[in-house]
Amino acid sequence: MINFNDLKEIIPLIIIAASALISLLIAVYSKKSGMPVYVFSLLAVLAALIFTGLNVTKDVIIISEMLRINPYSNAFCMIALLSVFITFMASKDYLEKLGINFGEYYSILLFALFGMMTMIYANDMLTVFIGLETMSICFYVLTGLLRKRMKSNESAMKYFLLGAFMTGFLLYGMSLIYGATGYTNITKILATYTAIRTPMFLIGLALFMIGFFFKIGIFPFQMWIPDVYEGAPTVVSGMMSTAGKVAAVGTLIPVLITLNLVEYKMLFSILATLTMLYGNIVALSQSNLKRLLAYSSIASAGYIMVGITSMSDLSIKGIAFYLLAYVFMQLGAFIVVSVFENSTPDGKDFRNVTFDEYKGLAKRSPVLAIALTVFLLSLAGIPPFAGFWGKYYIFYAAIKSDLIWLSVIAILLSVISVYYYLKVIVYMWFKEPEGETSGEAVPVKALSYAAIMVSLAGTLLFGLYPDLFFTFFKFLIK
Amino acid sequence: MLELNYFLVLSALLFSIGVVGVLVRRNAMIIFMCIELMLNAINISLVAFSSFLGNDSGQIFVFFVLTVAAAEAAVGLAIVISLFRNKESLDIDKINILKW
Amino acid sequence: MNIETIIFLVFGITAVVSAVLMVTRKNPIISAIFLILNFFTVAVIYLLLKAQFIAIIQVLVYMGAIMVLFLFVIMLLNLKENKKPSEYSFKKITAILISILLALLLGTSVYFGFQGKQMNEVAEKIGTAESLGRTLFTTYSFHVLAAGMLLLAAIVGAVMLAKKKFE
Repeated sequence: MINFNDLKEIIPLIIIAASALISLLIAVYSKKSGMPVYVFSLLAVLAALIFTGLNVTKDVIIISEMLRINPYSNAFCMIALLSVFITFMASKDYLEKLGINFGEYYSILLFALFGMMTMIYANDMLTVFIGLETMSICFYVLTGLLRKRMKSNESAMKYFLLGAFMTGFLLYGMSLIYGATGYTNITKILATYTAIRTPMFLIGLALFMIGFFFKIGIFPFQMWIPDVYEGAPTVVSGMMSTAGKVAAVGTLIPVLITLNLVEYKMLFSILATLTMLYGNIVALSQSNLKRLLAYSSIASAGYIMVGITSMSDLSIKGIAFYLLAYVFMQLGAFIVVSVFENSTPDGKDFRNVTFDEYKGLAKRSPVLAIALTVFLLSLAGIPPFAGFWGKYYIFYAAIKSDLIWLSVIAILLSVISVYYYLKVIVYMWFKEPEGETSGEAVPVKALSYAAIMVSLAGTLLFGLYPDLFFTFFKFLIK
Repeated sequence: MLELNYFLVLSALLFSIGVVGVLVRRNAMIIFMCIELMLNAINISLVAFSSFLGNDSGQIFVFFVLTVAAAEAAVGLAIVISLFRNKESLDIDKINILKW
Repeated sequence: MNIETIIFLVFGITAVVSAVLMVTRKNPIISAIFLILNFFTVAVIYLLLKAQFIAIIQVLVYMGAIMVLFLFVIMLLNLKENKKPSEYSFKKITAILISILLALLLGTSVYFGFQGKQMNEVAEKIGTAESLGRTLFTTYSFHVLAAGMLLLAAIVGAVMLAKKKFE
């Protein structure tokens, strides 16, 4: 049963749900201008972010034990909210440029956010399932939003078919877990000590994790990422690669840490190694910046997997920090691409996404070039940017739990990643601009500019003062 | 008397047939129907567990799986239509990036 | 063999055969019709499991709504039958082998993992509309609301993608 006291605990969730519905109405009544719905949804996300921040230390299980509000879930929720907030800021200008500035875009994104938060707060497999599906269905729609563009349609189709296929595995896993333990409630499942080491439970858990690994992009379930991120509208790719990942990781990690599957550490380490290898090696041969960022998202899924393998409280801390840094740098990079990107004259394809088109960007728009340089260096893990500390905390946790060889591999591979990020930076700063638009500054609208500045500020702030994060989430320091 | 594992084996068989279909067929509509078959197989095992454990969460779960299947069908068919408008084909071999 | 086992065997085998036919038919409409047959047999299996309400919902929602939507779209798009003969590529054969392996793994593990369980006496009671409805609107009330959000998102999304002129 839902009673009034429970509702108090989930104010952020209610704000997002209500604003998704209201924004739909606003979109209907203000067809001409996208401004009201834009401002409204931006404020709604901000309000939810503030409310989550105010109650960050709560630890309760509510609504017939279906939701669990605790500091970890609040932290992951705040990171997802932050990601969607920055995406919203950058969306309007980009969508107007491509002629798809539908008011419904904002409500679909809010629905997706509702799904993510439900999933992160979930304490029951059914809640996980509904949250995950709400998020995924909204992602399928957002991927196919560029309706006239072949690539967008195709990638929506691919994402949809593979996503629904993997949902099947996830559900089969849930049904086996339910059969083995007799519960769908996660707390109760984790308390059935005898059942959770039976083979049936482990097969179920494996299938369950496959479903999540698909969403996070762990090898061998990473094949959809480059195609989907390339075809989707750029701001949407940025949001999917950050908020989507935060939601999936935030749901899976508390379960895995409690289960403490130490006897399968080897398997997890191998998956982490393969994911990092795949992401970093294939990225070396890319010449399209959107695809490059997609491969870098696979590589970072590998780093997150290193954190999952260590299975300690320290590693949750590391992963949470890494995801925060990742939101700023990855989303920032995607937004810079979205600002620079254009349509071909016939409107069928993207322009300004290959490296060649970035030649001499520093001369044309120095601010964009500086921002992109910072984001890429941060993704490569170079101090003093936030990405460095994210990797540092994750590898530190791995070394603490005796995974020295895994951290050595991870560090070596992130050194390799410096090469392909530097390639883009060299193109921007040390090559002469070509083509008919050479020399002209890239037009940047104020709101996209603000979004880039927020991401830049976040990357620098958490790079220079990483302790800020841990001071805010005091609970993470034990 | 019927035992739990008969139903579970039936469910596993139908699930695997669905998986074969998704991996082998090239028509997007048929792949989509195979996914529906997989969801249906899962429903059998959920209902079986629910009846044999004497616990109703399984049947409630089936309820929501049905809801999600309906929502997925709506969105999936919309994607099929928007793709068909541009391409006039649902053969996924003709769709370049859909190869897997 | 009692009557229940016979019903199970008849409908279980029909379910598997219709599923295989669904996967192998070339014409999507015929596939869809075999899928409907499969859904019907599964509804009978639900009755054997004493889940009357789910059985009825299966017929009403799955066969009545979702599959009609499928058939409608197939006919709307007027998909042409695939004329080229099916070829057995290396990829297809590996896919089939993997799936057989999956079937063996899942089948044997569930067969031996849950042996000797008998139907619970309360099964008769929990499958009714009354009992399920009560649980659904008390314990699972949050999920009903969330599922409403999911359906609304799906409707809005479907219109956004498929409507001819959208602005």
